[in-house]
Amino acid sequence: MKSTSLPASIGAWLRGNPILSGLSVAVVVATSLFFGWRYSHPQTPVKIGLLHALSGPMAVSEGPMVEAELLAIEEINQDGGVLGRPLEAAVADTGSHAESAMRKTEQLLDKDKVSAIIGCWTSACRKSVRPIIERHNALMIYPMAYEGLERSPNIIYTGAAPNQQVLPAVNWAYENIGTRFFLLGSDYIWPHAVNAIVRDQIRALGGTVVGESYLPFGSLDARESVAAIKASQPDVVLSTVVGDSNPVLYHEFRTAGLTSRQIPIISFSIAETEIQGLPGADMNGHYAAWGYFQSISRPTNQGFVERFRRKYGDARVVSDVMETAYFSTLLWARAVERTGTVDPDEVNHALLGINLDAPEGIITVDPSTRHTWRSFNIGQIEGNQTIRIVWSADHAIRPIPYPGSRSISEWDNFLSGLYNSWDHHWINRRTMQSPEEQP
Amino acid sequence: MIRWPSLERGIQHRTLATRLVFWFSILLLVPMLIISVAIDRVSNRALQEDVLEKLGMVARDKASSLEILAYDRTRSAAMIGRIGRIGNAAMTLANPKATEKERSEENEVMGRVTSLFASNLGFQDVIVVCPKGNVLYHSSNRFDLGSSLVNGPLRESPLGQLVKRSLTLLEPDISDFDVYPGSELPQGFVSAPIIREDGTKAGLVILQINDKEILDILTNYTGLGRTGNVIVGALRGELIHVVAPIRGRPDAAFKVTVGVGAPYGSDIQNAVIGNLGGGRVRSVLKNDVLASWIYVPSFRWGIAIEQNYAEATDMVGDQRMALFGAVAAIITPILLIALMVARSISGPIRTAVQAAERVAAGDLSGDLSAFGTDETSKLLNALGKMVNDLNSLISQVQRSTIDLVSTANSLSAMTQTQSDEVKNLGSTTTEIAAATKEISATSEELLQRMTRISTVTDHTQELANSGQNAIGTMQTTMHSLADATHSISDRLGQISQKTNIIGSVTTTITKIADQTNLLSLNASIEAEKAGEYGVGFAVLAREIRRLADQTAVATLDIERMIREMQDSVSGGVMEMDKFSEQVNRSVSDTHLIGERFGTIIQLVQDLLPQFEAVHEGMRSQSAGARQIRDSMVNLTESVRVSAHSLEETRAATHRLEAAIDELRSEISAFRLG
Repeated sequence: MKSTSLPASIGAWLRGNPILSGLSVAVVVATSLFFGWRYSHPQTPVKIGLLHALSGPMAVSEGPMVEAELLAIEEINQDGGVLGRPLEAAVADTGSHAESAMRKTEQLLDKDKVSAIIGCWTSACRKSVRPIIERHNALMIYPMAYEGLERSPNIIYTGAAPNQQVLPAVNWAYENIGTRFFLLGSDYIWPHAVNAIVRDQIRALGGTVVGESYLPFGSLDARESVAAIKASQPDVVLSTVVGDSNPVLYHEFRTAGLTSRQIPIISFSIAETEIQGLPGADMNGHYAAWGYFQSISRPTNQGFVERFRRKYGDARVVSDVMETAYFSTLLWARAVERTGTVDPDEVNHALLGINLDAPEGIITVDPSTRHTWRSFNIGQIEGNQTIRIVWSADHAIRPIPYPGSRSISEWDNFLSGLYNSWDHHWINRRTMQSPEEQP
Repeated sequence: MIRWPSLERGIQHRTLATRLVFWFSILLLVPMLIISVAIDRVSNRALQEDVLEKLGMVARDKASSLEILAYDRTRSAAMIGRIGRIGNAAMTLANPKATEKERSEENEVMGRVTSLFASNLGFQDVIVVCPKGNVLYHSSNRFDLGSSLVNGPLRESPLGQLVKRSLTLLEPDISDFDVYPGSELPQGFVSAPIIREDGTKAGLVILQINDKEILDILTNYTGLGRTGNVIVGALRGELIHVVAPIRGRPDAAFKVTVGVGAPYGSDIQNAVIGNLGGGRVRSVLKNDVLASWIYVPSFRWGIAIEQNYAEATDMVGDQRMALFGAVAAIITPILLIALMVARSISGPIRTAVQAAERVAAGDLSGDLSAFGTDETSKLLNALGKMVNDLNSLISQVQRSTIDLVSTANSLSAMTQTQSDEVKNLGSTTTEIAAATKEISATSEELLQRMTRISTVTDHTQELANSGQNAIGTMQTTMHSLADATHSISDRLGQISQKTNIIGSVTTTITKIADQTNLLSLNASIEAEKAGEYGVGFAVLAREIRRLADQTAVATLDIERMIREMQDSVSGGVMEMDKFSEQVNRSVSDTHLIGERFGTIIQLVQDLLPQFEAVHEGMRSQSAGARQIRDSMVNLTESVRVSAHSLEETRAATHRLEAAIDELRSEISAFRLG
């Protein structure tokens, strides 16, 4: 008897049955086509909106934020994107202008259909955009230290609340520098709110506020304010001056014969990026208070700085807002992975209670306040344009957006009072020289 | 993967029934095994996910309990810090001017108020410090704080750190947990600023968190089975400290540590850096566990909820047993049925095989007819018919074999003869081939020589041609030489004539001189006659006579010279004539040579085509020889081949003979019916 192997006989049998063999070939081809399509078909990207000023007076500060956010997006995509889909940035330029920011927000939500928006620096921008975000039931992450006094169900606040930046700095100054404070700021919502909080705190500490002065938003003349400081001779100046006004302030401060040894300025607005372009003589010895400084010695931070410099150049520095913008993006992606969808509502919910090993330390989104547990550091500016940490809070501080010195309704009334007195704007436009430059 | 060839080789030597059962069981077992394994894996994964989900829920539950506890305690502490009586008491106690009585009173107030709030709000111990960190009040003396928490013995402890931080932040805060002298379990504290009614600060109130409440949360293993565990870790630098007891290790707190990046305890390593997740890991105690991990920001703790992998997947083992039981229960009866079916098929086939074996042994006498309509009966019937046919066939073959033998014999003889002839032919052709080869070589050499001669002839012709040309030139030169000689002769003739004319002139002159001499002689005579009158004349006549004498002498010279000249000229003419004759002879000689050269050239030219013809003949002869040689080689090859084939034919014939012998013996084995 002739014997053949089983596979050979099956082969022979198939050759004898053209229909059957055709069918099996068709099945194999169809299966491979299906899986080929399934795994090679490009996934539609997930879009995230980056809403920042890339022109106008705030561009110098907000440009680096976009860079940090793009770095985070690049890293997320290197790790396979979100839910297996690539993450794509939709960058919108607010032009440092509240009305433009509102228009761009509508565009991002309606046209680009972004899953979330990370954006704004100024409180004016955030407060203008907030109603639109809430109307769309969208999700926004605000990555900037601010005055607090707010809690929107559609915004996650990753920047420092007053008790994470301003108040510890006031307490530290009271303990370590002196008790006579001068409050200096730009003439818009954030400095006014911060100074209200600071005044309460100084009163609680037993210190005195010897003067308070506001520069018009975007002003390039600080002589009047510097003269007021010189006249009142405080122990320390708390500065909430923003953007392009800072260089002139520090320069006129020094040319007026004031030194950082006699009257140091503690700024809540300038950081590593801002001091790069400024003369060391103007800046040396003054202080800044932030959750993050580039000099924090944690492996996570070293990796972050290294990756940022690899992407943008070795001479670049990173600051608190950039770190915040960076980890905010990662935080959002982590929440998306956790909830398994990019739906803003779901992600909004998933963000609450989420933790992340950020460059500054482990940060947590506090579910009850929607603000973030942040670190706190006081840094002193040194001649070589670096910031040396002189005091650190060791670990993240629980956010308290409404300082306990007044009730929530008192704070809300205070804000609406300012808004109404400024003709329904979040910036005092009457002190601004040219209305065209309004942010 | 089963290796088919070896398996098949093994099975091919088995009986049909065994093979049927084998393939049957393979077809049954393989899909069943695949399905079982798939089910097993899917259910295992599902179970793992279930367990992880459950662990995750426990983790989230514990984390949120701890968060709520922390939030609650910080708010409570903040409230206690705002109790006016405490603020006043702190102010008094901090005042160095306060009397002892005031102090003890305030101490009592402090004790009353704080104990009332503290125990109700979940605190054990209460400490109050002034804004400089000096201890103002301590509700118990369980452990020694020293006089100051900022400068005292505990300044480097988490409690000291908490005081320093809180004095600056002026906010409720929770310390890291640590073991203090006098306490067995790790202790944590909440601090809050004491704010007086006017908003100024009066110090800190520090409350010891009730460790039992936290332990209750952490050591509650409900829903975690026999091996479930809760690991709580805090990151200090590069080392993670376990800060709470572990199940089975009540002393674990601050005794068990894990380095960051260690190959075990990755659950707690992830937890302390704020990650949330779950998976199969090696635990801190180096067990194989399923774990879920989470971070607790208020305490800065990582929590890992673990369950031993073996316990977590216990159910999978049960399921596996059930599955294999079911597989066995299905397979056994099916295999039995397969065996029966195989037997029913293989029985009749075995009969047929036996019959075929008998036929194979040469026994064609048996009866093989069977009854029935199934395939095996048909097979037996067919076999029977085949045996009958074989019977007649073989007797036919036997007869034919004898004829074949004689044919083979004669064939063999013929082949032998043919083979010998071919062998002869082979040697002859080889000889011819050798001869031809020689001829070919010779003719080729000849051809080469002819070619050389032809070249030489060509050369000779060229030489002759150039010689003829040279002679032509020479002839021309000779002719012009003869012409020149003639004209010289003519000139010499003319000179001779002119000399003769001069001779006649000289004669005339001689005559004139003679007459003159006579005349002068006459004159002198006459003069003599004239006397004196003739003296002058006599002189004159004398002179004339002398002149005539001189002329006669000169004329004689001229005559002599002309004669000499004439002699020379006539000698020259004679020489010239002789020379001219020689030239003419040379011209005719040259002409003769020219003609001879012409003849030679003509001869050589006539020779050339003949050479060419010979050459051509040679070449074709050489080619012919080569062709013959090649043909001879081919012929030799053919002879060799045919010799070989003959050899084979002979071998075949031998084999044929052997085969016929064999056939004859084989056929003789058949017993014909």
